[in-house]
Amino acid sequence: MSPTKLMALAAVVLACGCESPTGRLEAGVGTVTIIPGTPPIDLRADVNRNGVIDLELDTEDANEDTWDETHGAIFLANIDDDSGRCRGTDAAGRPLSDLALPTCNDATDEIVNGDDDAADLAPLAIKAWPQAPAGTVVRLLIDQNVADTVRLFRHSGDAYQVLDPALPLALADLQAGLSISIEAKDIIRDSATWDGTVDLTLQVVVPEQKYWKPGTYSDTVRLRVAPVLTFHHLLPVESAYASAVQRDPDSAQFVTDLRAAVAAASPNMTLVTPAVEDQWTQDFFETGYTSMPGPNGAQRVMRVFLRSANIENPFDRNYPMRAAGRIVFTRFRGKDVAGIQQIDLRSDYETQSLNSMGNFETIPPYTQGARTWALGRVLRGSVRGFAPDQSFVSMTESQKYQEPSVNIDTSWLLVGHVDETVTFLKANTPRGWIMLANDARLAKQMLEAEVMRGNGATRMFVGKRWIDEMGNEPPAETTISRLLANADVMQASAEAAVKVDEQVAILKRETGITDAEIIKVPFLHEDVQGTSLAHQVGTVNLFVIDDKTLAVADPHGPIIDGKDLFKKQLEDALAPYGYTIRFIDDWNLYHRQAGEVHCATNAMRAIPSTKWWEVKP
Amino acid sequence: MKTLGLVTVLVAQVVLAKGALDVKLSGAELTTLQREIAAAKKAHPQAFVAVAQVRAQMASLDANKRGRFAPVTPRLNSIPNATWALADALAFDGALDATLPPSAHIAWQSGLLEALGARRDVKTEGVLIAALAVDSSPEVLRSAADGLGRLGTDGAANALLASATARRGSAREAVLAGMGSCRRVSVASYLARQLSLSTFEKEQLALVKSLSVIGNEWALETPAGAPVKAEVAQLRAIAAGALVKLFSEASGNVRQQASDAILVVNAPETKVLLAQVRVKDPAAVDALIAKTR
Repeated sequence: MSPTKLMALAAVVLACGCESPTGRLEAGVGTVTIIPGTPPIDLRADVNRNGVIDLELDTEDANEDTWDETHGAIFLANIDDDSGRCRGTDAAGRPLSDLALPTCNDATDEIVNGDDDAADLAPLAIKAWPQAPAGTVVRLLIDQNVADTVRLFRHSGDAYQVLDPALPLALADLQAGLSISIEAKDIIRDSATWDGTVDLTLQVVVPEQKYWKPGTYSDTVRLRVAPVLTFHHLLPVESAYASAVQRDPDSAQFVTDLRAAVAAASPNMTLVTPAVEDQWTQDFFETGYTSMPGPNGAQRVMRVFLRSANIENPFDRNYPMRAAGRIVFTRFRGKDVAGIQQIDLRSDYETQSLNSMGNFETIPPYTQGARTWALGRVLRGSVRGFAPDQSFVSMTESQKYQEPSVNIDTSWLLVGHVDETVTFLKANTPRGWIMLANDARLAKQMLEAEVMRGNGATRMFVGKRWIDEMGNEPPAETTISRLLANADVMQASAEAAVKVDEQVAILKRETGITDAEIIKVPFLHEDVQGTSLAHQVGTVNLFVIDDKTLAVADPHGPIIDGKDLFKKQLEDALAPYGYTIRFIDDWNLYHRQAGEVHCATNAMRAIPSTKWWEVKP
Repeated sequence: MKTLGLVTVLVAQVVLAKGALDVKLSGAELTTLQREIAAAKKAHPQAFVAVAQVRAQMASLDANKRGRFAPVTPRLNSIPNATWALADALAFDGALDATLPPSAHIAWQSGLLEALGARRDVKTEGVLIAALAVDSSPEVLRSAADGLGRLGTDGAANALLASATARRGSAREAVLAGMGSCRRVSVASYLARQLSLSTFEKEQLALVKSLSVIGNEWALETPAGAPVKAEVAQLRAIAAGALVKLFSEASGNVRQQASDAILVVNAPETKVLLAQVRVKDPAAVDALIAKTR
């Protein structure tokens, strides 16, 4: 072997990993036989989930073609609008149609829109193989069934260029190594179509030559797109929302009162008051997030607003959906904030109310049996024959981490939302939370007890009216005895007591919660069109400001011994858990129109410290 | 020929009134109703103003509704001395702007019918029976049956039985679902009999709903809950018997609704009735018995 050849061989050995080509001196002959090495094909992703690509760490390489709660690479659906390029109107200034509105985001172009956009991409790398011989063919392979769901970029420094997996890479890319980024063009919409995983394979065809074993080599990494997750009430509120209905003094007063309650409890909390003609702020959007590992153990987070799948104008081709929900795209979508819309415009018009987000809550984290819902679990009102938009349900069920949802029967309610009868609060208990549930039986017992005490003539709903304060229309005032004598209220309340029992039984079965962890919230119902509606103020429908303060609708109950009977009951029931209640008058704008404080509000909450990828779904 | 002549006379007397519903009233009924309304307008003009005010708000209420329909009934219920103002709106002067969405019309029509029935004024029997005869949407038809049923008169009960017998499909289901407000033994017996014969889930659910209303324990404890106090025990027993029988035979959602209704009725004989069917599904029966109070 010539000195040159020996030096070359030594260089190869030094540069390569295992099974590099080696030279063996044949005894007595003075020649070197070269034993070809195995090509060092190595595609890397952030398998160890530390937010960066480690080319040398084994943890980045081990079991890279599998994915579970211990390892596996993650990428985001890059559906925010970091550069703010998306508009709500067309070139002529006309509002985009409901179906066109969501079609703009960072994944709908082939450009990386600045550093913020780049940060939403997950890293991949082809490890350099400087000695890759001439004639080697390099490809990145992706399953054709999912190829359209992702986009790959090759990048060098700040320069990003779309990488088409259909075309071979240059040999130089393999020899020098290549940095790649990946984005999903969308979230998982239906796991039956795409479960969110992508297998990406580096395939290298090595030709006949003497240093490396010829043949076809491959290295596969499996990635999973991040799910969309929603918030539960144990997470601190960062921003609160309440519609500011224009030219409506009741709305202005409600916002003022809520602002005061929020400021008193959490001075740093933002109260966002979008000017929309829809007072049901809880209903036209839901907040959430999606995240992937970032550097230094942090989560790279994209916040999400889900537009409710409400059909409002079924015969309007351009704008069939609930108008206020457009705000998800026209106001909220932006830097690190995505808007999501999923709707089947053929869904049953009769069940549209179930698509409001007051019928989409998240039970706080718990363990039941062998399964832990570490990020909480979706709760919906849904029964056979009376269910929400199934395409939206498929989308949320496909996320897997807070699903399958717990479904309870809300078909007996006029509005049909889960937030009419139950809610959840943080508590210093082994479970970490308690449940509040409406109990019409308790309301009846409390009122009957006051009659027995001689307080039957005590007035309720003092100064309140069922219709607007124009002319001489009558007040809503009644007395304890008159209310108890109202056959129609009692009829609906008896039914509500049983129906809520049934809801609670399902929640007990699904979560393991016990009676000791359930706070009864008393109010009576009435019958409207054969369905049930809170006749007294539905105080369970409350807004959690923080883990010490609640905003609750003023029940306007009877004043007994100088104190509102129903205020006192709720305060006494929640005092052991450290809660202070700020009562807000919502009678005119909300109670009279079949909602309360929770219906009137919404919240963006803090990202939980629990990382979804460390959880077994 | 004699019969034909009578029909001719009746047709001539029928007058088409224009209100929230196309209620058809005979001449005598029309005259009586107009007389009551005229008197009420003098005695309680503010009630007519208030009803008109709710009507004027229907576009807004419908646009801002949170659920399926705007809750109109509580607003109308709150207006004192409004019996004839409600009847006026229903029969003569309450039609909504035709361009409003169907949900607004349904909420308004149902609200008027339920609020009028809730007054439990037997003098409104004629206009409520006429409303029940209108071929309206199932939601409104249910409210018409509900409103009429609350009067609890023999006339109301007979009209409901006739309507339920004559109608078919979703219209029949609507009447069946609403007529449980008529807490009379004749109606309860009819509903129980129909439940024993019914094989269609929707119809079964409508009947279960009605039986839970007719035998509703809490409602029957109130002064206005039952028009004939002597019938209260019988109402609950009939409802409980029919519901327990269904519970023992049905499955799935029908059984669950029957179970709920049994608890709402909470008749004294429930445990005995359940014990009689326990052999079919002891665990389920025992679970239900445990829930009874």
